Amino acid sequence: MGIAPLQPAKASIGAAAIASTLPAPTAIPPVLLEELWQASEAACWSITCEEFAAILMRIGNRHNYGVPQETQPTADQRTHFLRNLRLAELALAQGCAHGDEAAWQRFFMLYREHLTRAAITITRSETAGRDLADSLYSELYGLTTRDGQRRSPLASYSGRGSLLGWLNTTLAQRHVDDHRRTCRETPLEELDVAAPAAAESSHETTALRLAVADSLSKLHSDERLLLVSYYLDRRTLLEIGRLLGVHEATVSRKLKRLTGYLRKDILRRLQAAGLSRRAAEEALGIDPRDLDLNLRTLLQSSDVKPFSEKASL
Amino acid sequence: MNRTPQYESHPDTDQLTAFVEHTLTDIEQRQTLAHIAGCARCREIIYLSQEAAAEDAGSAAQNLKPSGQLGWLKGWRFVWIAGPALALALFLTVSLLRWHDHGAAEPVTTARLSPETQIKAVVASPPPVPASAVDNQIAKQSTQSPAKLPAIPTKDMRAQAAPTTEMIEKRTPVSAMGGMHGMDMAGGMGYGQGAGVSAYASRGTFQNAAPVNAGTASSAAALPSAPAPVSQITGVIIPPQQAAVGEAKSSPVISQQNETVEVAAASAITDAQIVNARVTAKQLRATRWMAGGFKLPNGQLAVSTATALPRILAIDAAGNLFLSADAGAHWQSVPSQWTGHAIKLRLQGEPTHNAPVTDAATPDSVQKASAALTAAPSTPVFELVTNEGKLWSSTDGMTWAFR
Repeated sequence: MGIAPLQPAKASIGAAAIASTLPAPTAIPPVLLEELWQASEAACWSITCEEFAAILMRIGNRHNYGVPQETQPTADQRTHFLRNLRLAELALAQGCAHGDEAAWQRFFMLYREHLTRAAITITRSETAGRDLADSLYSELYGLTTRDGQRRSPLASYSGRGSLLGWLNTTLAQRHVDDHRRTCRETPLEELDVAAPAAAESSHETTALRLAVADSLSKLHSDERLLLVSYYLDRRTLLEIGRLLGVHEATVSRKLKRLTGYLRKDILRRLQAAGLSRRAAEEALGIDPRDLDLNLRTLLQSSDVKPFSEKASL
Repeated sequence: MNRTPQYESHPDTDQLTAFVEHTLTDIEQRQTLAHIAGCARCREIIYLSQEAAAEDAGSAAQNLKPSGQLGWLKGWRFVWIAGPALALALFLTVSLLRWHDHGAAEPVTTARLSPETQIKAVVASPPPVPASAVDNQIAKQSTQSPAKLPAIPTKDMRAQAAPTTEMIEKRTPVSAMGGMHGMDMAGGMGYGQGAGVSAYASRGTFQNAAPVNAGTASSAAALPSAPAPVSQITGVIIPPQQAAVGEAKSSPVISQQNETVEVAAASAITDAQIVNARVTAKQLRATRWMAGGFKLPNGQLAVSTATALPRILAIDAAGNLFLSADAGAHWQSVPSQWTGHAIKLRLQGEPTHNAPVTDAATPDSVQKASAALTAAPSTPVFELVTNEGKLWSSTDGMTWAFR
């Protein structure tokens, strides 16, 4: 069931509240601010230039203007970051978060139908999709309250990507989190078949397990992503290529090259562990089920630095 | 139970969206990629989001296309037509060219001059035609039935002959045939009788339903006032020599290219015959000698010519005299036997050879031309005029005597 965008309550995220929690808007040069404000058409959604400056400052500080956290962004980097934001969509999202009726009408016209379609695609179910879309739409509308104040997730939209993509990602997050929550006994990761206990841990199998673990741990993150996506997540070459921004043929070549490299590396490690070449090649022919090896664990237990910031939603 | 690592923190929605859309900075992209490679949840979110975006893009593309159309394929649906169309165009072109060549050998125009003619024509001897065989045939015909004269040449059309012949060739095969037809007829008459009627008519001439007044172009001397009626017969070319005056008038309307043209000859030329000329493309090419401005073997242009087929005499600007005894097929230089500089050639009794061409002839001029035709000698005598005003004559073009 859809929710008509009638008389939305003014969100508590007002310009005054934003301005009080952020650095002075004067950090943005007035000329640049005027340019960005004009480009965003924020005035259509009752957002003043000062309010828009506060929003930009908040987004810039949150992402440190696209540079590493330990680095102080220069003026050029700040300008580049701000100019690369999707200003019009950012203004619309902020207008909706502020409860501007015109902004909601615009949002409804542009994204309501898409929201439903995307939810159906994600859930692969008409019913579940519509339910998901309706729940998110109501949440976006500000029906969720926190500390007695209505809050809209749209306020967290930073404009670094498209608003459409942001909605897709939000829907996907909701769906995955719902799935994890409702399937707590069988989480997604636990769907993997547990490695059977090794009947006999021979020298060859032990050496092979160690060699595989070492080889996988030395892979780069993009290489691990390739292996995980293709062999564990069963994603298609097209999906992987779209994610990495390359052609699927390129993904195929990379996969072939990567598996070839892994085989050679494991052989080399087996030989380094004292096996002859023939024995090492025979060890590679061992049934994987005889190995006490969980590839998902190996591939996902790499040394990945956690994000400093939790997901905003 | 194997446990997979669970991250306490994940990239926020904005960052995941920007990663999918490749709008992150390089550092952020690598950082997010490293997280995604090890985080099943974020990977799942990203792939689901990507799937939704792709689905939406596909449906948006579908919505953009009107129903019943194939989108970008629509423009390629009829590409297959291009091949057959190209082949058809090629076939038509080749067929047209072949028809041109074959059609040139077909009889194209038949002109008939009847005694009760209404058109007076100025008849001149034909221009040199390399295709002597055709000329001979025509001459034979003209000899057998001299009462019918096919066309009306005027010597003043000589200057116009070249451009007109060129025009004939450039226009259409049919027009060229018309021109050749007239030339052959003239050749026949000139060879057989020393006087004849020649008309070089282009297709435009015949298609124009205007009366074919072949006497339109007359020499300035014989036909001082050469008015306009002839201008309607644009393509009519009348060879220069052996002026004969007649009057001819075409049948009322000649609307097609290949059809019989009935031309009535004046009483002065009632001895002419009906000539059916077969014109070939090779013969047409042979007229380039004329069309090219009477180019002589030494590369110079002929400034004056005199024709009594099969003999053609021509002089260039330097005064060199050339003789062709086979209607222009072969040329030989005639040694100078005169004093001074040869500037003009003509047949005896012909007032002038290279007078300016006029487009039309008045009835008076036609009458004068007719009179000249009556007075034309039966045996051609070439005359050569030098810059000193002296006159030299010759009957064979090789031996000259001072008069």
